Amino acid sequence: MMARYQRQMVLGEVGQKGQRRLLNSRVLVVGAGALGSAAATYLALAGVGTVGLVDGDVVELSNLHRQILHDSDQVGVLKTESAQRRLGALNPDVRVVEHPVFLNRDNTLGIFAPYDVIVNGSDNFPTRYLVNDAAVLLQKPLVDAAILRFEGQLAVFRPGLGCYRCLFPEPPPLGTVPDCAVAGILGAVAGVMGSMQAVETLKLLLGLSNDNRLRIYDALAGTWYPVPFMRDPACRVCGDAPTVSTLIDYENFCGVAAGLDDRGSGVAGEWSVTVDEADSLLADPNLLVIDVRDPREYAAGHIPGAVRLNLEDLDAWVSHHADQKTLVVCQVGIRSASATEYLRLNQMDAWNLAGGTRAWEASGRPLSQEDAQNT
Amino acid sequence: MTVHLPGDLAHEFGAPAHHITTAENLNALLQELDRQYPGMANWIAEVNGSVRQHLSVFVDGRRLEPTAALTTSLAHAQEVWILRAVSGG
Ligand SMILES: [Zn+2]
Repeated sequence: MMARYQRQMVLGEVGQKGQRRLLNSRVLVVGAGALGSAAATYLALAGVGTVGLVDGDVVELSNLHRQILHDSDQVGVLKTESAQRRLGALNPDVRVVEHPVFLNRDNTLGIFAPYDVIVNGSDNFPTRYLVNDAAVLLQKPLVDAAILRFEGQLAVFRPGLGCYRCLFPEPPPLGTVPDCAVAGILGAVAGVMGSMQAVETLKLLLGLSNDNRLRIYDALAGTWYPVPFMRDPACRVCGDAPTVSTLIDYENFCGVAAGLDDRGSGVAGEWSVTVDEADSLLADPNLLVIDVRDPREYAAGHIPGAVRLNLEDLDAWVSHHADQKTLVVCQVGIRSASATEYLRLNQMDAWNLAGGTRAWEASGRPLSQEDAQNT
Repeated sequence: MTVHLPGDLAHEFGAPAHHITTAENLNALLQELDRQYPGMANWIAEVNGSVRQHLSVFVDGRRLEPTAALTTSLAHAQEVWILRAVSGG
């Protein structure tokens, strides 16, 4: 049975003893998505004896560019089932436990209880805070990662040494952080981060992990940056006087229960519209579309009829367009969100296009290279 | 000191993600960034001056209180991280 692991048992840090320890370990992977796929694959190959997977979703075609546990034949199948088949074929030593549910305040502590380490590969903020709080309450180590575009964040939270809420006490307001459906993700970046989660989990199980850092991976620059952090004595979950002693309603905590959906990137969440919602604004002949990108970006392609305006000139522009109804656009919706907020502060009827020109183009709508006149 | 910006903020403004600066406090830092990248300060701080709720500013490993952040001295700081959570998985 041990022959399979010969090349890793050669490592002094593993050996026969370490390998036995791995075979007797139980790791729960939350989310059988992009991160969970990579993490669970390496954990199973390394011979972690029990690998649990929590995910209530089924496999979709758009998952397959990054979720390496699943393939074209599994579209429509529960992700936990698809994962079980793959991991079982990769390493029959491993017991794969399927939890084909979405975590909530009622089922999480019970699901987490038998596991030694929790690996967080969830894809939304309510689940991230839920998983963190449950791990703190049960005093289980948590290996957390999250990805967006070309960026990855990785953190190992060990009991008593800080938690996700020590880094980010409050969830971001709805609409201020785009998800991967809006902003995109390179599959290989998710693979890097999920593999790192497996590395950190194996280190925890083998007693090789001792630091307390967030690590930021910048795939475009090809760099990793360690960000040291400390447990926050004021943390509401792991601080000196915690106020969260049981799981709460995380949808509510993160504002999702308010009935709003994800508004894309930017600071002006409540004044953001999706490309589809922008159609009704654009039907108004009095609407003006302003594009706050630089001349080069504008020339490369803009929403037909959009006029270009420098952010620096916004102040002067406001004084001449007091009652103008405006849709503000940039590349992905961040600069335009700032501009929208500024116009709103000046009592203007301004809206931000979430996802910007990129989302407009991705929806199949045309771009123009013709210069529209700024009036 | 080195100031690290969130990746997509830097990308959006065409700015490098890492800045060397001698700004004496966060307010001076924001003004410096805003001069180079108009609109960036507004993305980081509210109009009333407090750091936006969804951002965490860490100075040499310690998280700043959002309310105290702008006046806090950065005189002896080595590393300032302006972080924001992402949720993709
Ligand atoms: Zn904490």
